[in-house]
Amino acid sequence: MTARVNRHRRCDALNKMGLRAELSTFSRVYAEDRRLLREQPRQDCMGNKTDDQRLVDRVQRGDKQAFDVLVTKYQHKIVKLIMRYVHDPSEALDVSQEAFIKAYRALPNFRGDSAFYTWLYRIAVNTAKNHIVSMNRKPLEYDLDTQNSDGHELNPRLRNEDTPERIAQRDELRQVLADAIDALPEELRTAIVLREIEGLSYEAIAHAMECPVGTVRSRIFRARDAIDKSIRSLTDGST
Amino acid sequence: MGQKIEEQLSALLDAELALEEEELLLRRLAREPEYRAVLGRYSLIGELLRDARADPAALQIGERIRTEITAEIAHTGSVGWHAGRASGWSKRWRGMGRGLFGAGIAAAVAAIAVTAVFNLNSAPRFEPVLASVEPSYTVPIADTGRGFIMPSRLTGYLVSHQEFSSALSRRAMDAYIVRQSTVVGDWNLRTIAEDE
Repeated sequence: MTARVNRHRRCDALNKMGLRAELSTFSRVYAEDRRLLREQPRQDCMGNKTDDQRLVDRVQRGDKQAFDVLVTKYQHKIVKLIMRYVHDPSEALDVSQEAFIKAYRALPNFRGDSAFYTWLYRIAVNTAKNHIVSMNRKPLEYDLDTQNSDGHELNPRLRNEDTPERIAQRDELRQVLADAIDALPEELRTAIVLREIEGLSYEAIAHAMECPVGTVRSRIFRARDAIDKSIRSLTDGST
Repeated sequence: MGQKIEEQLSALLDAELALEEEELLLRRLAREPEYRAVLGRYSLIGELLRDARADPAALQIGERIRTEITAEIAHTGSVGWHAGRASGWSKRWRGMGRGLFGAGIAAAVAAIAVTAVFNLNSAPRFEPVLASVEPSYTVPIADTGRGFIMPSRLTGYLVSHQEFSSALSRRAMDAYIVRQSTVVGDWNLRTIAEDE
């Protein structure tokens, strides 16, 4: 039942983005995708459990750079999560930073029983709550479902308060992104959508698109590169 | 920037990079901030595709975290556990050292226990043989391992050397001989009679 709801949600998302070609591809590969996912080891919503574990192992062996990759991978999710608690954007960035530092210090104790992101999610929620308490504010009366760490729709009351400037900036970014995706050749667009929205592995995408894994890797990169060139001017101020 | 490196960055983000490529790329990322920025933007693209509310401001924190961890290591020599964590070889040696130390302690305890048990079994047992004998007599004690001196032999010794003792001691000796004879039984009395 949940899988069917998720499928409808993804179809809606593709429809909203005007990606009808991808929608038909998605429908065609859905059954194949289910089969492949059944055959693969259990993965998290990003399909990354085992792969994050590889980076986590590196950090635990003292490779700080591997932690940078984990930060890069999850910074957006964590900032978005913390902004549900801490509404001021700059304050939310500080709390996110603190959450990552705490995670780094606690990483030797991470045994890999859960996905890395689930573990990080809990640290971030606790850090945000502690921050609210330390600022002598009343903590939220409602609690986030800490199991729902894949970023799906949570309590709508927890959405952050946006300023008009931020809304305008995000609208512009969204428009530029939609234009960039529209301008992509179909095979690049399908590859990036199957990867980023569906979270399929390269192997699963190669099955769906009937091409080698190396081609999938190249297509996804080219799609990202093209989109990056379009949005770089809007994101440069943020970095 | 090389397209090949950027393609590797894209694959790294998807965790689809081969292990040997990952090793080299991570080293490169440590050196070159431009590549870190590219990785951050690729990550943002994915987030924007999944959720249009993604905030580009989040791109800032990657460098901030990196700076904070590096600064903390520089100032204190560690970030929590990091200084304590040794690299592969030294960690292995430390582990081996701990193992040897433990084994050494165990061996020492075992050796002490064995020695103690051995001494307990082989040590001659000195029992009070003559509680009532005058201290002026030195009773020869042979290390026979039997743990006691035969009463008949002692009695024989006392009887044959009684001329060297005082009258008081002789009375005590006589009393001892009589007492021994009642304790050890007839065979001892026979021995005394033969000695006499």
